[in-house]
Amino acid sequence: MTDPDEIASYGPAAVPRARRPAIAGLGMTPIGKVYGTPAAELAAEAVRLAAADAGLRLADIDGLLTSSGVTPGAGLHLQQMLGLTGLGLSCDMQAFGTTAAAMVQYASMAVMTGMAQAVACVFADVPLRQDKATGTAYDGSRFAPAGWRGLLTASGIGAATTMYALAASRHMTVYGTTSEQLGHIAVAQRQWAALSPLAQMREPITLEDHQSSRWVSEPLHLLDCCLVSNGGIAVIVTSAQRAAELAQPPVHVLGWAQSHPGRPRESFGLVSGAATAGPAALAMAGVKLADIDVTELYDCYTYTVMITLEDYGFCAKGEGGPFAASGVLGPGGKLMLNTGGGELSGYYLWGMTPLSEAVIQARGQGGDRQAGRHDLVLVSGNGGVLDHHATLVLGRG
Amino acid sequence: MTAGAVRRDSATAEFFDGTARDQFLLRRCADCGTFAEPYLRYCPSCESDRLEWAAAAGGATVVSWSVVHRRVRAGQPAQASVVVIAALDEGPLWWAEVLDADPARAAAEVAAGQRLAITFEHVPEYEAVPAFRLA
Repeated sequence: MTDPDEIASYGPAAVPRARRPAIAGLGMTPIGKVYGTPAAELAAEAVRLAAADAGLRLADIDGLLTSSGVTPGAGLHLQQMLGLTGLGLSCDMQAFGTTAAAMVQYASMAVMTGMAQAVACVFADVPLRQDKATGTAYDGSRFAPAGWRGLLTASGIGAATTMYALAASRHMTVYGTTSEQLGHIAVAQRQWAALSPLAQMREPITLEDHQSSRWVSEPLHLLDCCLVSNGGIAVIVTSAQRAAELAQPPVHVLGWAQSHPGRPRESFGLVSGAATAGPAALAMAGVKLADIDVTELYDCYTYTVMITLEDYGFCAKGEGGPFAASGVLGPGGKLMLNTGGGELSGYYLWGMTPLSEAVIQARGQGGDRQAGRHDLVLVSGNGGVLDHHATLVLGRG
Repeated sequence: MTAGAVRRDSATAEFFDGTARDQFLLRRCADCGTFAEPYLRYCPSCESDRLEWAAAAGGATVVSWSVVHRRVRAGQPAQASVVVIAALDEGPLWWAEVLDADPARAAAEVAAGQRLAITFEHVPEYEAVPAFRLA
């Protein structure tokens, strides 16, 4: 990875201001228990809504990045569904929970280099089925029971929650992190969700509710786990010059980075890719962590929030648990974190959850949950079992 | 719980030949002797492509543990099983169930540092699955 001191000179600051990337459109279909619409149609609708939000026609889109969740559907054929011709950029992408942030990164580079002028980045998924329990969507049973992946499932570790539980458990062993500390994250995000009309789970919960919710995989309770949602979200990335002429306040893409640590024997569960990607993204943007006003972190589990806070440097390594329990979270706390309720209480559309709320906050369109200061927004994506991480630094004005 | 069904593919054929005869096969570099996870293609130390199959000695140490609670049917009690990430004595980490650990006493029985022994569950009509026992 590039020396942090040099990173700024490779980022958006390297090109004239007019050609720097900005998010100009956000499209969100109905999200949650939305049945009967295939993922491809939700993806197409999200792109249409994002273009309309920006004040663009579909014909103005000249770049398309697509991504699917556990159900295929949002792929290259969206170009045909949308009637798009003459694209300068097209790719179906998959980096799990980092994909949304990564799509914005590749779209930004395409805009900076002139490959495309208006890139639609879209994700859609329909894991929920009316006739199946919510938990079956991610329990590994959709994967063919063959090969190495099949062996993990046959060994009793097929569910993503079990793999994250093993990561969280290691953190607890080494640093003394507790379930109650993780519970503070769940409670705070539910408080935010209560303020958001987009959130699926708005009933307040207490720390006692968290502690008494059933075990899924110890040390993770049910209320440590994200929701499962159907829906589609798209953003449009264009140049700052173009964005300034469009319908919405531009949200500038100031800095970014990825880090894919895999699962190192010595540090799996203890340090994530956020430790590398966070500082690099901030360096590219030319800002410091203390300058960040709003933080939207990928929160497939409460534990994921905790370790990302540590690795971004909001607190020292190993102190993520006590930090989360120190009263800094929730509306009125000093850290404006996961202001829409996140994936735990808002809605779960992989990396599009933190990205969409970041765009809403940066624009100042958060309504009852709007952060007072929102000049700089930090966004994370996390994929696999801490295998993949992506960071975005977004800014208004 | 009893191990689930898993089928071999081209990448796992030799490994499952090993589990069938109660051997946990690792990759060992013919050039520098480094042990690697069975799915690696090149030596993680010297990048040699001369990897040989070598049976693990069978000892391991708990790195992390979890108790998985499965609800088989709504309204019925969950079934619990203890799973771990363990460091094999040769170095690689392996994720599997500890067959004889008591889910209600997992925090004591499989705390980090607890010694384990590799064992195998033979599943009729499918491949044998490696697991651990308390040592």
